[in-house]
Amino acid sequence: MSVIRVYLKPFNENDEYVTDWIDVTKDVEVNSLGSITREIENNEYDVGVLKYNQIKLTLRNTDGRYSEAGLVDSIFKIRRNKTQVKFTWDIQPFPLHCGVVEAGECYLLDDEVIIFEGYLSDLSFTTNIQDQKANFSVLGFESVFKETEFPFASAGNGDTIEELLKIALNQSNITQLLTYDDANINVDLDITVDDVSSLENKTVQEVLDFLLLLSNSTLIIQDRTIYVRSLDENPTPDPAYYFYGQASLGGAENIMSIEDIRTGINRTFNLWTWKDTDLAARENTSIDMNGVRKKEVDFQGITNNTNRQAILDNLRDEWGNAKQEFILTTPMKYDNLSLKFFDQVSIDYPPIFYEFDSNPLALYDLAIYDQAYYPLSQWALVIDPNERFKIMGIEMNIKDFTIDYRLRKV
Amino acid sequence: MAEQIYFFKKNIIDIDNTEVTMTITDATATNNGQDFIDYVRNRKNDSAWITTGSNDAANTQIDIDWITGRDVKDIILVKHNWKNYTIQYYDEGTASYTDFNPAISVTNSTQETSHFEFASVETSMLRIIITGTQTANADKELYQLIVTEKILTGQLAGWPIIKNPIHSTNKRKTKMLSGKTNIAESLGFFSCDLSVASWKIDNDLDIVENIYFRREGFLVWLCGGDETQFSTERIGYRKEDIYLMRPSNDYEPEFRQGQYQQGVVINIKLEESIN
Repeated sequence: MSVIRVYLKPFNENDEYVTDWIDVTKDVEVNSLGSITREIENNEYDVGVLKYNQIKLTLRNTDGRYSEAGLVDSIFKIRRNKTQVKFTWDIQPFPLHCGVVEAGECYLLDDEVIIFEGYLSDLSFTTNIQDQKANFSVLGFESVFKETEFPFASAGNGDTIEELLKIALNQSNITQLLTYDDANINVDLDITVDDVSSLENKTVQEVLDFLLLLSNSTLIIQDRTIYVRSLDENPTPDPAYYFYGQASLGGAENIMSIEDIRTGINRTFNLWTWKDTDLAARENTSIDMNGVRKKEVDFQGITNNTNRQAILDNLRDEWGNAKQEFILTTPMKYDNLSLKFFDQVSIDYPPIFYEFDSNPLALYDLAIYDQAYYPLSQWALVIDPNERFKIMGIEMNIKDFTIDYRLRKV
Repeated sequence: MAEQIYFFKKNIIDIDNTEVTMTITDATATNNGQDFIDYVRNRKNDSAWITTGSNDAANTQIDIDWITGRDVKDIILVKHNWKNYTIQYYDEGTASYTDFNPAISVTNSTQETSHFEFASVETSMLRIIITGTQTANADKELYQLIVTEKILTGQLAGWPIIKNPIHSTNKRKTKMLSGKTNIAESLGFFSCDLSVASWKIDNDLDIVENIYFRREGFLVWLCGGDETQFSTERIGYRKEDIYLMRPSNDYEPEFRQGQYQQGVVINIKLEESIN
């Protein structure tokens, strides 16, 4: 019923992006599309630049529309590299027109939504004459950080982390693709950098890796706008979304599976040290429970020990205790497509109760002892809907139209 | 009297309709069940709405509001204990609660599951008033309330074979060291096939095509309201067994033996669905 569409926005003869998107859906080989993954960089430490998978895109090129720039029928005039790409999802396979819809008969009236935006990379382009297909890699916009140098000349000793982030991100190579606003750059802990020399000859990506770590912050690209925000937050009373398990009585089942359930110890660091100093921050309760899990900070640009200690204390507070993580799979729908990183969700996954001997499930305050029966139950996983989990990763499977959310307890 | 299979549209007040509000009024009950009245629309027959401390004189009232006017032609009360009760709808024209045609004003009922059919009305509100239970002065209970209308004629005229009825709990088996089996199960779902070797009834085939192409779950009532037509009362064929289902195979209207004047060979694979 739903449909994925693909659009391109190439450069014109003046090396500027054309105004309108070009729909290339009819030339897309659907089997070439895999999953679209976005997640906070999560090797061992959950701070970093938002990562997009490279999406493979194969286009039918029999008529030469997607051949390299300069060829007669190619839609690419000056260059093909960095052509913008967007993928959209629409629950209706047909365009909507004015008319009358009977309530309860039409599935949903809504527009197509963008599920991924990026640009073509010519680096890995291939084609062959047998099948006449053009094989591209589509990179997420954050890849531009790897291709942009940090403007070291604009930085100075004594700049704060936030000021350096603004210098790094507010560059034309970045802002031609993404929206930048100083007001969207808000770190958790803003510390003065005493010596910026280590930032020379670095890419923006490398500088971000340092500064986001030290400030306990993360960078998100949402609706083509750059945001830097704190990782520290409290549970919210009003979740952005509700998930209901198979035995939930409060809503229609919308959890397909919950996998990779972890205690979170793998991302717990309860002893933080600063290299070549005796500075340390400990989370003693976590050490008693889980043993020492040490992480060392190595950044010589901050020389003030008070500031170093403040950074270590902040990182200990964020990462010192284990927080449950898992992957939740749900069918793709408009209301969950709008979920963003760090949105907090509620999950109602109660024990699965079975009737005992055909007796109805007993309710406290209503059932009578010696008459009602306790139900049989399955307790393998129970999640309290009053707890909150934040979204740390989103993977869209566009063949099955499902979404995997990587969640971490708040 | 034997009844054929019914197909209804999805419950208007289904749990995934976030605009529904239900309000209980009971002057006597110590607990009128307001906190869990939504159980009557959660598609499950292992949970229910029930009062505490109510009696027949309480005239327990349930008001249901789904905001947007919808066509209603059928109401099903699944597993209740009501003896005397009325159900009315809100008429926008008269700005008052009005009887259906025929009116739903039940006395001395001994039914556990009740199906009411009436002339179609467009409304957004219902009012139920319960004035007595089958055991006098018992607490009122209701497992499911279905507000709906039939799909086209709704009830088949033909009698498809109900094949492969499966009540699956999605068993996953692993072996222990002893060799014994460990079985993990889920809550489960129901599926069945409806098979007709040669179907020529136009109304029935219209229903079949509608359920294949409506792209939304629909309610299937295999017993059609008459569980006594079966030699024994089994799960899936009881009056309380109404499933939200969708076809899991594709529509294949092949004329029997390729002869155009023969009926169409139909095999619908139905599975209980979440949407």
